[in-house]
Parts: sequence; structure tokens; C-alpha cells
Amino acid sequence: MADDALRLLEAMLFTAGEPLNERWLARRLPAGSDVKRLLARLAADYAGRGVQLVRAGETWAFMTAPDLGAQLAADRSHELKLSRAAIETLAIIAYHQPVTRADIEQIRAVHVSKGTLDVLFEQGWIAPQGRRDTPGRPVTWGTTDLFLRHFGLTSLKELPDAAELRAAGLLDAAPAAILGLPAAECEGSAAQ
Amino acid sequence: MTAWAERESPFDAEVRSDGNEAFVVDLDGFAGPIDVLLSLARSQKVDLSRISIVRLADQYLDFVAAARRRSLQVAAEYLVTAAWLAYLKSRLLLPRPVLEDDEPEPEALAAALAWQLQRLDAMRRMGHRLFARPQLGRDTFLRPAAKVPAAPSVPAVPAGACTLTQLLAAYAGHLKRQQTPRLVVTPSSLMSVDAALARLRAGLGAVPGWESFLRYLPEECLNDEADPLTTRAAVAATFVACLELAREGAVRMRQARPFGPIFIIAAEGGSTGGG
Repeated sequence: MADDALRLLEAMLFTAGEPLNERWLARRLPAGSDVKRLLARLAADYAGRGVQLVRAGETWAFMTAPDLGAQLAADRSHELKLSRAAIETLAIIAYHQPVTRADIEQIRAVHVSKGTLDVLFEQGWIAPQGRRDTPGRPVTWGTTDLFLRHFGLTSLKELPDAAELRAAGLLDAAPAAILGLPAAECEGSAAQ
Repeated sequence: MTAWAERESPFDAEVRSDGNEAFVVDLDGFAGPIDVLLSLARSQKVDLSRISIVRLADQYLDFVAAARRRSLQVAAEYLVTAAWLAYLKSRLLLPRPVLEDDEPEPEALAAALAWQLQRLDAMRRMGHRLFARPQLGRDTFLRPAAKVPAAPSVPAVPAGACTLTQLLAAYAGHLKRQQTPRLVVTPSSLMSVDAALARLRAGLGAVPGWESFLRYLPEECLNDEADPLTTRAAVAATFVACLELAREGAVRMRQARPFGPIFIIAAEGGSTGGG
């Protein structure tokens, strides 16, 4: 019985062609199936193969193994080139989320143009996470499962050096900004 | 990753283009004062947590001075930071006077600055690390969606085909397009002062003696079916035109009592503005 569920799961993931949500999969499996366990088993079955079952946040998808990239990709010319500001901003959102625009400006000590966030939003890498309960109720931003998948991360815990940075206190809420924007513009962001 | 190329120091350019006085301190390459500070701090070749803030202040002040010597436009924010660093340096070096209650310790300020630099540096390195990872569409690939016609439980287009994010982006784009303001200037049918002036000048000689200025209104304003707004505008324009002609000395105006009818007459001596 479990094998049937496993085969159905494999078939669904195979046909989907895009990441599928765990809950979406669970609804379509026979009642009583442990979707997480089945996914883990399937992923283990595919480990080391040219095609792998990869988790990103709550979504799963078959993907080619990263080490084959060079042999598979004939044309790298349309690779997205992001500005330095966009790369920095993405890192700040990934490591400090949820962050407001004021938080990002405080860390970068320069104004963040709307276009920078737009580029990341259009890529589907960041999404609004809600609003912070401070004056003005600013929107907070965080990364999406698509962000994790794009960079081959299973969860935010896998962000490079996340633990080290946290231990070093570099991901803590900020004290008042020293440089850059006038203090008044940063006030709303001091509290995390 | 060429865009990410790190510079050891903002003075690199100076070393390279030795002998060429034209443009050696490159301010354009920096995103702001903190960017310069980070480059300078790295040039101290120690762990960012152990940099000397006093030395950093000196380096920064030299940098800004060099930029100004080359008569580059130095943005105000660079100068503000320079002033602040000079202040911090003096506070760190000079014997301490009694601190005001709300004045922060200079060491605390220095530590906060070092921390801010460290944090930005960490974020830059992590951004670099992220983009050094295998990326979807470049190093890893998803299967293109398959057509599964006879499998109702597995739709060929899964429920997530349109994510909330895409939906929001599309909606925002729609709103944006609608908001594009379109300026439409409808030509005015109301009489202008210029038109009234021309009309008055043409008609003045024809009427001898005092005459109410209302006589000079266009015919269509005098009958009963005239649009009140058009008439009002014509009256106002003609009145202003009368005043203008009076100022030129071409007409004289008279009003016997408040709110009474206003009469005009062509001035004697023939000094009419244009006949």
C-alpha cells in the first residue's frame, strides 16, 4: 500500500514540472499517508542520481543535480545580472527577515531605491510578510520558497554561515544607526 | 561576478594611473560614505572587529581631502561623515571632559561604527556566497510541465500555476497603467481679455458719446438664450479690457454711483490704442 502512495507521489512530482506544495500533495495521496515520510524516502531513493528530489521550504520538485549544470547548459548568456545593490539587499532580506525597507536602508546606510525591491519581487524571491506594529505599520519583507529553490537551499537554516553570523551577533536587532541616513528616518526600524 | 570586484582601497586607481593627474580618486564607484569606510577598513588588513577607528577616521579624512583637492564634487553626505569622524576622533584622543548626561561614550560610538561596518561586510559576503551557489536555470533545471490529459487528480496546470506574488504583481501593474495621467486641454469657448481688447479697439470710434460698456459685448451675449457663463466671462473680459484701455489713455470710464452702470467714451485727442 505504502508503495502505491510512493509511486503516485513520484508520478505527481514527475508530471508537475514545477515545485509542488506538501499540503497539495497530501490532499491527493491515499488517506493516512505520511507525506513527509514518503517524500523523504523518495528523496533518499533519488539521492546521487542525475535527477534529484529537492525540497525548498514547503515545496518539492525533481531537479537536475547541480554538478551537471555545466554539461547541461549550452547557453548562459541570458543569465540574470543583478546590481550590487540588489545582491546586497537580497542577502539582507534573507538573513534579517522579516525586514522593513527602513531596516535595509539602515544596514546599507544608503537609500534603497524602489526598483531594487521590485527586481527581487519580480523574480519571485521576496514577498511581503505582513506589517510591523510600529508607527506607520511598515511592510516587512521575507524570502520565498522560490528563493530557496533558486539557490538550492532546503530551508533558511541552510543559508551560508547563518549560525556563525548569528553567534557573532551580526543578525541582532540594530542599535541606532551611526552613519548614513538621518537618524529620524531610521527610528521606526530600531525595534525588531 | 565582475560587478562584485572588490577594491583593496579607494586609492587603487591612484596607484594604477600614476603620472596621470586627471582623475584618480574615484568617488563614483562608491555607494556612499559607508562604502568608502568599508574599503578603507579592509585595507587595514585586520579582522574588521579589531580595526582602529582613529586610523580609519584619518584614512577617511585623507580620502575626502584628496577628492576635494582634485576638485571633484563631493556630495554633502561624505562631508557630514567626515565631520562626524573628525569629531569622534577628537573625542577618542583628547582627555575627556565631564560627559553630558545624554552624550554617548566615544568608545561606544566607535564600537557601534565598527559593528555597523562588520554587519554590512557580512551581508556583502553572504550575497556573494549566495550567488556563487548553484542556481536554478543555470546549474539546476526543473522538468518542463508535462501534459497529462487523462488524469483528473493531477492537473496539467497545478493549482499553484499563478502564485499570489504573480497575482499581486499583475494587479499592481494594472493599477500603474491606469494611473498614467493623461492631460487633455479642452479649448475654452469663453471670451479672453485679448479678444475683448481687440473688439473694443475696433468698435470704439463708431459710438460717439458716453455709452455703457455692455454695449460692446458680442451680440450672442445680449440675447436671452445666451449661456450665463459665457455672458459672465464676456462681461468680465470686456471690463478688464476697458480698464486696460483706460490705463493706456484710450478711453475714459465713468460710474455715477456704486453698482451703477459703467460708461466709457473714446478719449479725445485720438490717442486710441489702435483705432
